[in-house]
Amino acid sequence: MRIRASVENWDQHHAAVVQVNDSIHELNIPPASGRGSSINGGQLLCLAVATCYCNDIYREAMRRGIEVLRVNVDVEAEFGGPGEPAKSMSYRARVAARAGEQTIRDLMIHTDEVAEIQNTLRRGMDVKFGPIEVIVEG
Amino acid sequence: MRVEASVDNWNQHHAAAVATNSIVRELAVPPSNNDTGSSINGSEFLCLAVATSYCNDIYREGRERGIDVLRVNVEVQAEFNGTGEPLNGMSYRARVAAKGGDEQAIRDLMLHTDQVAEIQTTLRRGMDVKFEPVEVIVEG
Repeated sequence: MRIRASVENWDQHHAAVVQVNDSIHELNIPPASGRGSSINGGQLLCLAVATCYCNDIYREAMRRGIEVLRVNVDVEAEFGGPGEPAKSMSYRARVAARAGEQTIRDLMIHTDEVAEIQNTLRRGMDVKFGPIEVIVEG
Repeated sequence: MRVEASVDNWNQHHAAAVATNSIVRELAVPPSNNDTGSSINGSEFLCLAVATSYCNDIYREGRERGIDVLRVNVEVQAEFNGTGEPLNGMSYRARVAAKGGDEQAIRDLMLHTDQVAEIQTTLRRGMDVKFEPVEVIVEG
């Protein structure tokens, strides 16, 4: 799977485009009040982690025959000064699904272990997962 | 600096928000066509994070060197192998138009920015992120 992203910024204009294989999406990200993007790289890194978990829980649930109805993910990271890498990152999730509590809990823990962005980041830093919240739907 | 992001996805709805030091911004990200998740995936956002980090940081670093950056274009590319596998590598290139420095000064700024861009330094702790400054435009 080939992934591409591009940004172009000039004189209070900002264009952001992402692409997977032949599928292209343009994002509406306003320019910053000075120069650059109003949404920074750290925010997008956190969003990458949240979105990866969100999409992967549906994929992994499908493989296990579990119907996920809703997923909510919150990611938090701490950055130091300019030039310093992220100091820490953690995230938590809430999943509503039609299955037993332990089955949903197992799915959530498994998804954390196979989420591609989490695995990419974990080669160089700690990404903590939890607490998790399970909602059993009838 | 505390940075946060959240997504909430349910029944053909997708909400995405980010925050830095509790200042929240929402992003318009449509749900996926197949009704499960976000239309833009995590790896696309990861590549966009690298591009955006470089974009914002070149202005910051340019200011510190007395170089007035007028325009920046960044393209990031990555390859994912399979389900559950981490990214093997990433490469990106940039074009920068600036004034207040000659071609070598702008090129030095571009190479320096690659070394201090926070997302790049975060990723490089565990993987290779290659950079190529493909074009320098010296404005009068």
